[in-house]
Amino acid sequence: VVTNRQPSVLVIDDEAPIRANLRRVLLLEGYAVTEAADGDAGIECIRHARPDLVICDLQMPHTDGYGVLGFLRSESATAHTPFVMLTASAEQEEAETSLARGATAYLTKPFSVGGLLEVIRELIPSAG
Amino acid sequence: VAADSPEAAEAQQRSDAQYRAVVNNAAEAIVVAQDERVVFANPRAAEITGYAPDEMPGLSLRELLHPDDVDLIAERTRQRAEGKLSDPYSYFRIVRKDGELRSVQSCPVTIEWEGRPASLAFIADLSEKDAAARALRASEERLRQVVENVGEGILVADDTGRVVFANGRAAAMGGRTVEELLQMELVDLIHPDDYAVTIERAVARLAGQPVERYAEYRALRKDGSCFWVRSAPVTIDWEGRPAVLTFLVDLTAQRAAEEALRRSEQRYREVVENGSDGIFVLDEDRFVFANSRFQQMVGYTQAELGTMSVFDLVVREDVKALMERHRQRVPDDPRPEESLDWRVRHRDGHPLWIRSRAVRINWDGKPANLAFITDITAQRAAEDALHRSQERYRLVVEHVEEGIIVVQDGVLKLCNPSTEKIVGYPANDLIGHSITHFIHPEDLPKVLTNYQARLRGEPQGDRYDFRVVTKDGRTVWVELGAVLFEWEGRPATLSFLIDVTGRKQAEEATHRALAQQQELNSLKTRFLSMTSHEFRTPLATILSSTELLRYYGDRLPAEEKTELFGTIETAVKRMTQLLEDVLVIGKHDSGAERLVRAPVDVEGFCRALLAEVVQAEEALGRGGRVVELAFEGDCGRAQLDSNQLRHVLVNLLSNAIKYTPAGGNVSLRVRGEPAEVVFSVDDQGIGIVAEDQAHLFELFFRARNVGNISGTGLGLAIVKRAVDLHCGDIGVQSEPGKGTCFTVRLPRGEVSPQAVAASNPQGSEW
Repeated sequence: VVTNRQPSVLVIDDEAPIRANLRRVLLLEGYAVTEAADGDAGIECIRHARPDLVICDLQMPHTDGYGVLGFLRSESATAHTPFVMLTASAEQEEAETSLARGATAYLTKPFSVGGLLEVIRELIPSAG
Repeated sequence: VAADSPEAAEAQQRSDAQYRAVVNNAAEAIVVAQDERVVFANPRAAEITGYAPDEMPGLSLRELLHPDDVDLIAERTRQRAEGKLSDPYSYFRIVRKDGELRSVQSCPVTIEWEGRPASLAFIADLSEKDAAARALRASEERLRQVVENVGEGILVADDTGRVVFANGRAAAMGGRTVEELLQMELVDLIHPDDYAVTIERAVARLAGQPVERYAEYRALRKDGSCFWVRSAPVTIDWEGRPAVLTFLVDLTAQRAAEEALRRSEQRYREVVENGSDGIFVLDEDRFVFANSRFQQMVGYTQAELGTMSVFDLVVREDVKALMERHRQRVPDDPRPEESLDWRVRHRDGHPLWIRSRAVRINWDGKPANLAFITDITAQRAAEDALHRSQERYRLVVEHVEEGIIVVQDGVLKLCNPSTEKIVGYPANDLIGHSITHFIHPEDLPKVLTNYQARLRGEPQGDRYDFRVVTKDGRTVWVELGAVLFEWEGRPATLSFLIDVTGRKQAEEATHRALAQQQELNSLKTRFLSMTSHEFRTPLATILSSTELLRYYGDRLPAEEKTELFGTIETAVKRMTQLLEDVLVIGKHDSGAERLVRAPVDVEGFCRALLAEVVQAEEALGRGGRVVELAFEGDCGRAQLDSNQLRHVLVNLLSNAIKYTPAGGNVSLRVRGEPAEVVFSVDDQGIGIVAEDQAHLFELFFRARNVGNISGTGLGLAIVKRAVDLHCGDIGVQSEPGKGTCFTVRLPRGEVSPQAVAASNPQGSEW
């Protein structure tokens, strides 16, 4: 499906350099990007901007990645929105928990930008 | 009668004379009365009436008769004349000349006297006759009374052996009536075995031969049973024939009494001779009697003892006690004495323990001592053995290492010296007191539960441990093993205590070490996991930045590239800082960090360090804060570990600068106190919410309001460890949005080596 509208990606991460790098890559790849520095801000963005895909860090103060994922899946409008969990934890357990709770994909930090883009392209076509 | 001839006249005269003689000598009174007057009376009549013979003729019958009887006589005279009188005898009373009354009996007939009818009466003086008869009757009655009431039986048997007389007592003896007895013969009354002898004796007595005055034989009762009688027979004449009069005494009671006495004596003899007690009687110290048991005991015969003194038997050691007893004896005190144990020597030389109980008695009219003797040699031996056995047990109980206690009703009844040693109370404080007295309050429920379960007989685990609190307040661990047993007839527990404090302490130390190790392991795992996470984040930044530069470099503006290189640099610095912090923490937490106190010029050190921090922060783009430094008190030399002090101040100051916006104030104030140096770091930063303050010193903890300000979450953890290592103290006061003040107090040094040892950072975790 080709539309004029660029697919939008919401990036939620409390690490500013990560957010900045993801924004740069996604913009260059033709996605519209929204950023949130924590879970609560991310939920606000989901509620208003309805992104086509969410990339979210797991460990964040207050509302963490699971909290955001829970909200996303609980809203009928976003229940099927692709969700990519990014985590600095190497625990296999957290990957399983994320997928069990409805994450569409799971990536461990440090991640390769190419790998991430592959996952995103599978989930939503870029405008490129 | 006519007198016709001389012969006739002579015959008449002779006849008259004969009649006169008869009349005048008759024993009976003869009176002829005519016209109520006496016309003739013989001398006997005069004698009865008391008149002179010549006074009688012409005497009026009314005068002679008792006035009350006159009419009776007149009536009877009239009846006789008419032939109507049935009873020829008349009874009436005569009034004698002297006035005395005489009862008389007469049998009057009507005769012709001087040609006219007259009454001829033969009068008998009944008064005389009555008196004799009465006397006889009275005598008979008395005899009868005697015979019937005499205690002896009286029996008369004639020469044919027939019973001709018996009194009531004789009859009663055999359970018969007198009438029944009078129907019987001696052969029926005497026991067949005794009959021949009795009859033989009776025959001999009747023949006038000398026989024993008394005879005893068995008589037969009506019911066939026999009884002993004693008879005292005499020969008498009974209605003209020889008979035997015998007085009988029933010997039954006497015999029974004799028998009873004999038996009683026999019994006493048997008791005395066959009882298990030896018995002897002493006149002073001399034996006057000894029963066979006592003779057996000492091996002397009664005859031998009769020549001996009691002191010949007593063993030398006991003479004194016996003499003392004798001295204390109160004469005539009838109470039995307290028993006395002493030793006698048997004839063959071996000693015997005896127990005597003496009582004062009268022996053949003299005061004497009667003593009952029990041979207690075996008992003494058993007692001695028991005593020795008890002594052995006592020695064991007194010297055994284990504490031994007996508890009944929750009260301690017995304890040995080891118990005193273990629980640290003297026996006086234990015995008679509740066991709760010395048990540690926390262990009391456990001990009581076990104790009660044991009393109920429920199976108990082998042994268990609990704590006791000694009198001086120490806590001692004891191990207790107990059994249920009977103490003075009631259930109780017998328990054995061992002081296991040393073992417990070792166990506890091991347990503590193990837990510490486990905690350390878990801490390490957690630390690694956290560290891994903290490294992955900057790594992700670096990796994504290099990929951007590599794959998108041609499409990125120059300033973006520069920014990306900056990002990489920052991430690397952060990782380096992280690495350093992790190493410091690791060193602390592995126990490798040691406090090395050395003289530090506090003021100089602080000045240099603050300048260094400010410069570093400026390099990171955090310049423009107003930094103050103030000193108060003795801020010269102190014994501090400068390396640790550096960790404390660098972290606190860089945090203060980092979280305070540009233009804000940051201050370090140092106050030298005699024992401590107090460092206060104030900022005008974001502050810390109250809930977060409690977690400030935890690893990787970062307050919720740090925002984009980077940090490892290890700085304050390092500060805390460094302060602890100094045995110091750190406090925080903070208000979100206004600022935070950390205050660190570090002892100046010269602290005791113990305090240094106790400053192991792990120690503070527990």
